[in-house]
Amino acid sequence: MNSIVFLVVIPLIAAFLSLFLEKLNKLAMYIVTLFNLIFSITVLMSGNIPFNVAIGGWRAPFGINFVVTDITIYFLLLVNIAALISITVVNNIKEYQFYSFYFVLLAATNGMVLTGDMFNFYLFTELSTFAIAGLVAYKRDRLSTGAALKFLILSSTASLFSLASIGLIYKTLGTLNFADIALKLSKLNQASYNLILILFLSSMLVELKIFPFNLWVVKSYEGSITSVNMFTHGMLGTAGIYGAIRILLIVFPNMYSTNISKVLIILSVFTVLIGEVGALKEKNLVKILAFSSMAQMGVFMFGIALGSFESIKGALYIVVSNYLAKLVMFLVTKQYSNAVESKNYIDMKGLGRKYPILAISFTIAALSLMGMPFFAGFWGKFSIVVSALALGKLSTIGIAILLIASVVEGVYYLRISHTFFAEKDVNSVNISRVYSLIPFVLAAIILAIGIYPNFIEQILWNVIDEIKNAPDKYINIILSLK
Amino acid sequence: MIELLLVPLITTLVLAFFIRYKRITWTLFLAANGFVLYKLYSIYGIWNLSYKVDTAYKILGAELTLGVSNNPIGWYFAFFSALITLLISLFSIGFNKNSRSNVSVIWMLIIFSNLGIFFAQDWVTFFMMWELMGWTSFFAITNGKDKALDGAKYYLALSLFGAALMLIAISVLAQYTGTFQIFASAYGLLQIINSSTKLGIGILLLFLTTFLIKSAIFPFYMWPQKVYSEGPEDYITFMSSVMIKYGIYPMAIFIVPVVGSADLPMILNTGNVLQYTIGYLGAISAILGTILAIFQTDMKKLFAYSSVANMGYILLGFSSMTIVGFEGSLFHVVNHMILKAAIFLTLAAVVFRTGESEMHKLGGLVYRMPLTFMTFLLGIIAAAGIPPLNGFGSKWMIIQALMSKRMVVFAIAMIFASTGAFMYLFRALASIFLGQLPDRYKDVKEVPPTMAIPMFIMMVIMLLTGVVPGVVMKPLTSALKAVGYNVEVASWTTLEGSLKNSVIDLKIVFYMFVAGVIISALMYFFGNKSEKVPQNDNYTAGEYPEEWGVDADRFNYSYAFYQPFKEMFEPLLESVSIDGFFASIGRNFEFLSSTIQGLFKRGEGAVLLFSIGVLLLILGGLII
Repeated sequence: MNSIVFLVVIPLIAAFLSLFLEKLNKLAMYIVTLFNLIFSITVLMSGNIPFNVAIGGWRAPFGINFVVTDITIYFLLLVNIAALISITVVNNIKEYQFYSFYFVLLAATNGMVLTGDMFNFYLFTELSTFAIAGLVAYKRDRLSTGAALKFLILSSTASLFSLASIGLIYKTLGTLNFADIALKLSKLNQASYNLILILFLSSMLVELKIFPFNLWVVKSYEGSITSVNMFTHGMLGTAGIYGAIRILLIVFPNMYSTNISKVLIILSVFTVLIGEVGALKEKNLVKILAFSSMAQMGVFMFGIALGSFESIKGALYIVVSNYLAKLVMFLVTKQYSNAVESKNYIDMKGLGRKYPILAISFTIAALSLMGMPFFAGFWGKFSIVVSALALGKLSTIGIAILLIASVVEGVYYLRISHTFFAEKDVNSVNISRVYSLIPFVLAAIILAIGIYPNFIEQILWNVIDEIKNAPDKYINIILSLK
Repeated sequence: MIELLLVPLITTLVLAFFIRYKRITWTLFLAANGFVLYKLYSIYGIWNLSYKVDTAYKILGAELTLGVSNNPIGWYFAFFSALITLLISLFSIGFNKNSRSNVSVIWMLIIFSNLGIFFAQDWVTFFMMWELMGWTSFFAITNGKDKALDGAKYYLALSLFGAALMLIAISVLAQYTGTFQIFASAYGLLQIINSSTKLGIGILLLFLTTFLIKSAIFPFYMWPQKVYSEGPEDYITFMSSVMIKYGIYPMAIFIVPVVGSADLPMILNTGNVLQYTIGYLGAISAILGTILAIFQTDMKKLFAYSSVANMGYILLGFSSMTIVGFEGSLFHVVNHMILKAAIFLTLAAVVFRTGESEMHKLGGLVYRMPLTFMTFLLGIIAAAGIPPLNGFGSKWMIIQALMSKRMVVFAIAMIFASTGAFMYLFRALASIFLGQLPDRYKDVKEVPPTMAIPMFIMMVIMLLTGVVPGVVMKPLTSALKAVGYNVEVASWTTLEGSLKNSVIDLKIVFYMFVAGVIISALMYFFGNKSEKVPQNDNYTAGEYPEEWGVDADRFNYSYAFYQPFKEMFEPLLESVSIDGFFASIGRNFEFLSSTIQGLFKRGEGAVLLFSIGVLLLILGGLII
């Protein structure tokens, strides 16, 4: 399956071509994204998984390699589906820069998920953050430029740290391949191990929106157009989550024997609290979503930091629920805010009576984020609560705070839903009913997972199985050890 | 078994589809409720019915199984809830003719969740249904009205908080007992209490708090008045009569058996610590609810506090931990369901015709709405606990149980509250239905037949349960017997107390009542001829209003009805301001929210905070 490289190469070629395509750019965008999606689906269906592609014939750990395992392919699908859904809201954009950045982002996020070594992961991360910064600044007003700058500054600081950690890894272990690192890390002394982990974590946490690394989030969501918000959430965010799972759980599994996981628990609890409480008084719907996505990432990180397989499963449920729910919410926000020309949710009063499917989809997404039963988020919350209560005092206190924060979340989300359904005359507003389709389908998936978790449960156990048996399922495949 | 849950669920979807056609939705709603009632009737006595769903979802190392099963006490609650719901839904057809929003969809979903709660076999199913009830109620209360948002938010926050506590309790309990089954875990909890008391009581209190929130017991007694005053009246009838009992059901099947058999320190050799905790909460709710009800000027708020007081009675019955008290409480659940539904239906009828719920603006409606008045009258007689109507029997049993356990303080609280109930009930009667009819309500008519019929049926039921308590007590005692309590199946008309010689036959009470009616009738027919007195004659107490510079024909004495009483209790109420406490929590969260927004709005110091984060990680990784 050497052709897997196309997933990165074709978007990159498209990024160059977009300079000359002019009006055909939009078409090219659809073609390339569809290609990526269909290609990842064929890979999933081919039955060859897991496999390892050594680029240029140089065997790992000496060359660059792309790895496709269960985790990879699922995240690849998530990234590409998010890309396809996000570009449906792109319209009236003529500048080639936007398309160019989009293709780079697509290439970079696919690369982040596919790559099998540390340095390429770093490169692709850099590439994606630059692309996102460019896309955020697309609106060219004061707010978005400032937001893009802020994001750029923070992510370059982060990349500095990540480069330092990569340097340290290369110096101490002499390798950059994930699998090789994982194999050799156990021989490293504790202090160097911790230093490497801290440096790398600090850079990861920026993308994972964990407080206090997340000051870019709200501003960049507020300053950018909806499609870019969806790129940030669905593509960059998902790829970042992939990085967290791959690197923290497979490459650095010893993390749980250090106190760093405890610090992570504390930080993620703070993130949740800040995200939920921050959104409480907010009126701008996009900013509310930004705060809420911070909080959801906090819950995810909490589940990861607890470190038991059940809590990781819960965190993965949260990922799925947040991924779907936020896409729904951004789509609904886009339609409603276009209709009333305001992002203040109070101005959207009564729209749910005229366009109930959008409002119901939004409500379903909100209930899923709140962790209500019969929606996808519940299974995640339940798993995390049960495993947190078994894991000692700190996590018990943490989960108590998380649950109280979820009360706040419930209040502000359902208040918005109520506003949508409130009595008001909205005859002048017009939204094409076609736009209800995608949110409705996504919301239906959320509901389906919530009612019948068996299907997704199987997938998540595959993922956890790979984490559990990392030596067999990942490391040995890459290094071709027998 | 499963069709009992499936029918409401499918009906919900169908209703959502037809939401714009009111006549169709409300008729369908009625039909679905009728089906539920019929189905419940048909599964009486078949206690081994159950339905299980195996999921692949793994929790605590085992695959989760969700299940519902027919259990006797759950059936008892579900059946009478369904009966009252059916009557209310009949009322709703007429009531919602002119309303702009349609609450039937979300209401049907609530009925689904309620059936799930009563028949849940394990805590996970129970929790799922419980949470479903929380957020659906939020939408049902607001029903598209911004005015109702504040109350609904308050309710939502409390119920989400309660659900969070319950989730923790379930998880801890499951960790120690290894099971999610409700009955098995009750036994497990008992063992935890006996081995490590602190943990066991902690778990129990978490559960208890959740249930207290839903049944509006003392620290959480504020939500009914906030919610009832703004929500759609027919749904509020359902909420005040039926839904408020959902906290009582899990107490009856889980808390009471555990507390009753736990080996805990005793107080005065009469009851253990938890028993007294429950009792005091009940007593405070009963007294506070009564006092607050006396002061209200809004009739819906008045009866909201009356519900709080009645929930207090039920808790007092539980706290006695005797079988008579337990039976009395469960009997009172149904009695209160019936009489509160009757009262709230009349209030809904009044609001439907006048659009007014402030009592001092109403008056004299007896001339225009006689049937509504009759229903209300019987309702408040029942609520005051006067035989031969239905409120009497259960209160009597609870007081008997308290006295037999020598819990005199609680008995006094109960008697105080019952006496106070006369005050507010009479006040409501006098202000709404008696007195002078304001001019603006001259053309008010009696409610249409679809609304009158359920009220009439309510009257019949109140009288029937009052005279023949066996219609409730027989299913109740057989249910308790089926669960394993050592009880005799009750007879049709007698109630057994727990003190000596305390068996009363309500048949005889009824005969005495009938004799009284006959004597009065004789006096009426054969006494002096009655004389029609102009209303002003007895209103001005012999004074000439003109001398006071007042218009003669319009008086209304119903504002600030119990002013002296209010002045007496004001200092007490000011010191017990739970509402202020909750409001300050809300304010603090909002203040914090502004601060956080400020931080993110300017986003300055991003790199500084980044460095702080790194330092924290270093602190965690290298130094500690």
